[in-house]
Amino acid sequence: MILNMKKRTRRKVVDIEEMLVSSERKIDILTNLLKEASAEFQRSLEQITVSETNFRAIFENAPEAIIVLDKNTRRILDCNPFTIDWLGYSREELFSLHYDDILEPGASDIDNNVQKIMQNGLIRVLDRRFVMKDGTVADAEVTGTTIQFRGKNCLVVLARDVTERKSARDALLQSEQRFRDIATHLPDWIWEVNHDWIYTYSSVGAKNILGYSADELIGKPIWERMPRADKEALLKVLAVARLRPSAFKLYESRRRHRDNHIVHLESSGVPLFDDSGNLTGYRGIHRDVTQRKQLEEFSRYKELFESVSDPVFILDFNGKFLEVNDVAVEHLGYPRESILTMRVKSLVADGQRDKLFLSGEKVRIGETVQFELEMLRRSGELIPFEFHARPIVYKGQPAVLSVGRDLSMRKKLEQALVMTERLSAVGEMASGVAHNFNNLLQMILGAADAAAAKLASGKMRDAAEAVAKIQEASQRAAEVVRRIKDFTHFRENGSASRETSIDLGELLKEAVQLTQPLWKDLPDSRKYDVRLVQTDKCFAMGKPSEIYEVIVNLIRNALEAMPQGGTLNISVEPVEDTIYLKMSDTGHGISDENLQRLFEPFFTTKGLKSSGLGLSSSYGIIKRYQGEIRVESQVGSGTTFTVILPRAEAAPVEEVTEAACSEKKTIRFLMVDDEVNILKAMEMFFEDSEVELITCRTAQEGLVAFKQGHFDVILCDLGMDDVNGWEFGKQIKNYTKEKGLPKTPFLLYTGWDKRFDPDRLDESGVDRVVIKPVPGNKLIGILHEVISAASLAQPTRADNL
Amino acid sequence: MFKAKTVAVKDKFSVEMGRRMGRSLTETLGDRPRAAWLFSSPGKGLQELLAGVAETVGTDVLIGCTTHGEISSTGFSGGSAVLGGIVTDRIDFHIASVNGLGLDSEAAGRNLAQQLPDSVRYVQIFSDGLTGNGCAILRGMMSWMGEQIPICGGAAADGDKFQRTWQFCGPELLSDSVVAIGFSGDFKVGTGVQSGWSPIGIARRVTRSSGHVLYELDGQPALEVYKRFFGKHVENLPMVGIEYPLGLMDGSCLLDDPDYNMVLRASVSVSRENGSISFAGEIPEDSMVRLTCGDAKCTLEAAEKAVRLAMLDLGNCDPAIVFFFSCMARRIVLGRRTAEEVEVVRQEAGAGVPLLGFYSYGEFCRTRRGGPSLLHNETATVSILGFQ
Repeated sequence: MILNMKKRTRRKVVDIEEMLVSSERKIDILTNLLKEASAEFQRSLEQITVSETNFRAIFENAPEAIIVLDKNTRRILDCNPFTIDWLGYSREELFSLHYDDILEPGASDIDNNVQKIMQNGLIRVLDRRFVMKDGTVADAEVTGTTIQFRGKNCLVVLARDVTERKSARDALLQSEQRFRDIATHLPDWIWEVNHDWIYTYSSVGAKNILGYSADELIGKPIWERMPRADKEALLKVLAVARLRPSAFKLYESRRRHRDNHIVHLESSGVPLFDDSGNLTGYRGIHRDVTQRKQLEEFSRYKELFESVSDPVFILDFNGKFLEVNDVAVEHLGYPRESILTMRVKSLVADGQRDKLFLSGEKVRIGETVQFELEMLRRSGELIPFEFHARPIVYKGQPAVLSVGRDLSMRKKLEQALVMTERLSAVGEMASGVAHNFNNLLQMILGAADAAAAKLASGKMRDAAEAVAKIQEASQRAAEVVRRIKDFTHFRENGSASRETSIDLGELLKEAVQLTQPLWKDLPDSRKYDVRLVQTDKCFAMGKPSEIYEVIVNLIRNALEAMPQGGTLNISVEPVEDTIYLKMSDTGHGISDENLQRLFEPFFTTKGLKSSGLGLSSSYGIIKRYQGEIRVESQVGSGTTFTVILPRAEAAPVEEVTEAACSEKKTIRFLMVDDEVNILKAMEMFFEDSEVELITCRTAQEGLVAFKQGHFDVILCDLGMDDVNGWEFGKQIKNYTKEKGLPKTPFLLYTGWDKRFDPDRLDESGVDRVVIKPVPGNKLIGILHEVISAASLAQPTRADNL
Repeated sequence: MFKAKTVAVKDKFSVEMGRRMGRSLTETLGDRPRAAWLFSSPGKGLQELLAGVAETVGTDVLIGCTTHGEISSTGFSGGSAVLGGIVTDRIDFHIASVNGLGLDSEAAGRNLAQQLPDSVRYVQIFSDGLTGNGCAILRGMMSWMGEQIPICGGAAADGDKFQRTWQFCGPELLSDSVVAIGFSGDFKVGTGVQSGWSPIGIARRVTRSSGHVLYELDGQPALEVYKRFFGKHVENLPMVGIEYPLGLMDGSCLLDDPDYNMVLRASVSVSRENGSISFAGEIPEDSMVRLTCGDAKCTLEAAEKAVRLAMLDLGNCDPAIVFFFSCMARRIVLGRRTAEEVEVVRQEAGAGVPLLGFYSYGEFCRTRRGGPSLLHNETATVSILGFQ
C-alpha cells in the first residue's frame, strides 16, 4: 500500500514536473509571441500612422467626394474638402445631414446597397445623382465600403462626379447616332480603309451606289470592282498617298455596279493617324456622279449638236425624228416642231426608200453606215446628202444618230467637172466638128450655087435636086449640133434627158459618128480602125444622154490608149436578159495596180489633162441602171471594157398625131424676129401654104401688128436687141388681158436648148418654146398643135360673148 | 435491425488470439457480422492475428489498420487489438484497397473510389500514415465521388516508432496501402470535428511551400520564424511542433464564427539546411497560418464538443455506433489522461452506444455538412451512424 502510495506520489511529482516544464515552455513561447506581436503591433501602428497620414492626405486632397457615414443612420460623420466644395454645403451643414438628403429624391436600392457593403465589404454603383445645395444635380459613380472610424464600423462613400463625362458620353452617343442616321440615310457611301487600303467600314450607301452590302465590301480593297485602267491610275495615287498622306477632294474614278453597268464616283477623304503619328488608313466618302457625268456629256453633246455645221438627226428605229439641229431645220425648210412629227421616209423619194430601209437595218444591228440619200425640201427640191449613221442611246432608248453632208455643191462641182470634161472633149472634137461643118457648108454652098444655076437655066428638076442636097446637108449639120448638145447635156428638156428604152445600137452609131474627128482623117500619121458590130433589138433602160456620155467616154479612152493608132472593136449584143456592149482596143493596157482604182473618182493616169471623173461618172451612170462595167486588160496588148445592162423592151413608137383641127382653115401667124434672112425664108416657105404669115423685125412692130389684126398664133425670137421675146410676151399678155381678149398662143423661138423657168414662161405668157432650127413642116405641126390646144382650153369666142 | 459490438484483447498476437476475438465477436453479436473492423498496435504476430480473425469473424468485409492506441466500447487500450462488428439489414458494406500509395496518392484515392459502388453514402479509409499523402488521397477520391459523400477514418500508425504501418483488407496484411469500407443503405451519419487548439500569435502567409514542406512564411525561412516563436525551444522541433501545431486558416470562414475551426498541421521534421519544416499534411502556398496552443483540458473539451457536433449533425436520430478517430499527438498532450478523452466521448455519445476507433497519424473528416473531407492533425473526429 505504501508502495502504491509512493508510486502514485512519484507519478504525481512527475506529472507536476512535466506540467511545470510545459508551462515554462508555454510561458516562453507565449512571451516570444507577445514580443513578436508587440513588435508587429508597433510596426502596424507605424504603418497605420503612415497609412493614416496617407489616408488623410488622400482624404483631404482627393478630387472625389469621400463621405463617412454612420452605418445604421447613414448620418454624415465626416467628409473631405472636395465634398464640401462639390455639394456647396458648409461642413457643419453637412454633418447635420444624412446621406439620403444629398441624393436626388427617389434614389433606389440604398438599403440593399448598404447591406451588400456590410456583407461583401465593397459595392460599386455606376449611376447615382447628387443634389447640390443650389439644387443642381450631378451624376456620380459611387463606391461604398466600410472603415473603422472613431472606433466604430462605419460606411465610407467615394463619389466621382461624372457629369461632364456623362455629358460627353451622351454627346458622343448623340454624335454617333447622328452619324449613324446620316450614314444610313445619306445616299453617299461613307467608308474607311486601313493602311493596306482594305475597307474596314462601309455605310449602307454602298448598296445604293454599287449594289453591294457593307459586309460584302469589308475586307475588300478600295479598288474593288474598278476597271483596270482606273485601278492602275489609282494605285499610283495611293502609292504617293502612303508616302505623303494628306486630305484629298473630288477624285474621280469608276466602278462596275453589281449588274455591270459603270458608275462614276467622286471621292474625298482624310488620312487617319495613330498616337505615334503613323498613318493607319483613310476615311472618306464616295459620291455617285454618274447622272451628272451623263448630263455633262449630254450638254457637251448638245453643244456639239447645235454648233456643228452639218445637219444632225436623231431618229428612232421607226424612222421618226426625235431631235434635229438648226442646220437640219434650215436644210429641210420645215419648222422644227413639224419635223419632230415626221418620219424620215416622208422626206425621201420613193426610189430611195429601199436604200433607207437597208441602211436602217444595218444600224439596228450596231453597224455604222455611210450612204447617199436625196432628201426632199419643203420646196420640193431634192438635196443630195451623204449620211453617216450609227446607233446610240437617246434618253435611255436605242436611237440612230445621223450626220448628213449636203452634197449639192459637190455634185455641182462634179457635174461641172464632168461638163468640163465633156466640153474639153467637145473641144478636142472641135476641129473635127469644124471640119465636118466645113464639109457640110461646102455641100450647102455647092448645092446652092448649083440650084441658082439650074434655076437660071430653067432646069427645075435639077434645081430641086440641088435644093434637096442643101436640105440634107442642113439636116446633117443640125444632127451634128444635136449630138454635141446631147453629149454635153445641153438639151435638158429634150427627149435625151428622160429615162426611156434606148436602142443601144443606134446610140453606138451616133457616138461613133460624133467621135469621128478623133479617129478619122487625122492630120498626122495615126491610123485608127474603128469597127462597129451591132445587133438589132438591143434595148436598155436609161437616159439616152447619159448612156451616150458613157459610150463616148469609153471610145475616147480607148483612142487615148492607142496614141500611135490601133484598132477599136465595138459591139453590142443581147445575152439572155442582158445587153453586152464591148469595146476592145489594142492600146497599151492597164496595170493591175491601176485596174483596182480605175473607177475611183479623180483617179487618172493622164495628169492634169484629165479630171479623173469620166470613168467614175460612167460607172455611176451604169450602176444607176442596175448595170455594171467590167474591165479586162493586159499591159502591152490592150483593154476590153464590157458594159452590161439589163435588157429592156423596145420603146413604143410615138404616134404622131395630126393637129386637132376639124377643118383646114387659114392660120394667121405673126412672127417676130430681128434676123431678116430667117423671116424671108419663112415667108418663102409659107407663101403657098394655109399659113398667112405676117413678119415683124422688132417687138414694137409686132405689137402694133397684133393690135391691128387678129392672129391665131405668135412666134417671137427670144434674143432680140431692143425688146426681147420675154418682154414682148408680157406686152401681148397685158394687152390681151386689158382688152379682155382671148389669149393668143405665144411661142418663144430660140436656139437655146435648155429648160426654162415655168414661172418665167407663165409670166411672159409663153405657151411653148420652139428650139432652132426647126424644119418648116414641123413648125406647121407645132402651130396646129398650139392652136388646137388653145381652142380646147378656152371657151369659144361666141361663148366669151 | 442493427447491432454493433466491440471486443478488445491485450495479449500476444497469434492466430489463436485472432480466432478467439472473432468467435467472441460473433457470440456477442449473436450472428456473423456484415462488416468487421480490426485496429491493433503494430505488434509481432500481426499477420497471424489477422489470419485468425479473418478465419473466424465470419465475414470477408474485414478492414482495419495498426494504430497508436485502440479505442473500443471498453475505452482506450494501447498495445492491444480491438475488433468491432455490425450486424444489420439496413446497411450494405463494400471494401476496397489500393497498393502503392507512396507512388501517387491521388491516383490511389481515385482508384479506391472507383472500386466502390455508386450507392455508397459514407466511406471510411485507413491509409498508410508514413508513405501516403492524406490530402492527395482525399483529392483523388473526391474527384471521383464528389465532395458530398463524407470520408472519415484515419492514417495508420505504428505506435510511436514511425517505421512502418499496416493496413488490413480481408485477410490481407498490407502496407503502403489505403483500404476503404463504403456504407450504402438506409442510415444517417453525423460528423463532428474539434481540435481544442487555439490560435496564438499573428497570422502569417505561406509564401513558399511544396506539399507538406513549409519553406517560407511572409518571405522568411520557416525555421527562422519558428525560432522567433519558440526561442530556445526550437531545438525541440519537431516534437514541440506537435504541442504547438500550425493552424491553417480557411479564408472563406467568417472571423466571428464561434465554430470556426482551423485545420491543424503537426510538424514531423526540420531541415536546418534550407530552413524548412515538414508537416503531417499539405501546407498550401499563399494560405494564412497561425501557431496554435492547447492543453489537456482544451483537448478533452474538444473531444466532447466533437461528439456534440456529430450528434447535432446526426439530427433527430438515435446513434447506433460511434467511430472515433483521434490523433497520436493528443495522446502525447493528454499523456495518462488519454483514456479520459475516450471516456468523454463515450459518455457524451451515450454509454450504451458502441464505440470504435484508434489514435492515428492523421484524421479524415469533413468540417461541415456538404463540405469537402479534409485531412486533420491533432484533431478529434467523430462520425456517428444512426437510424430514424
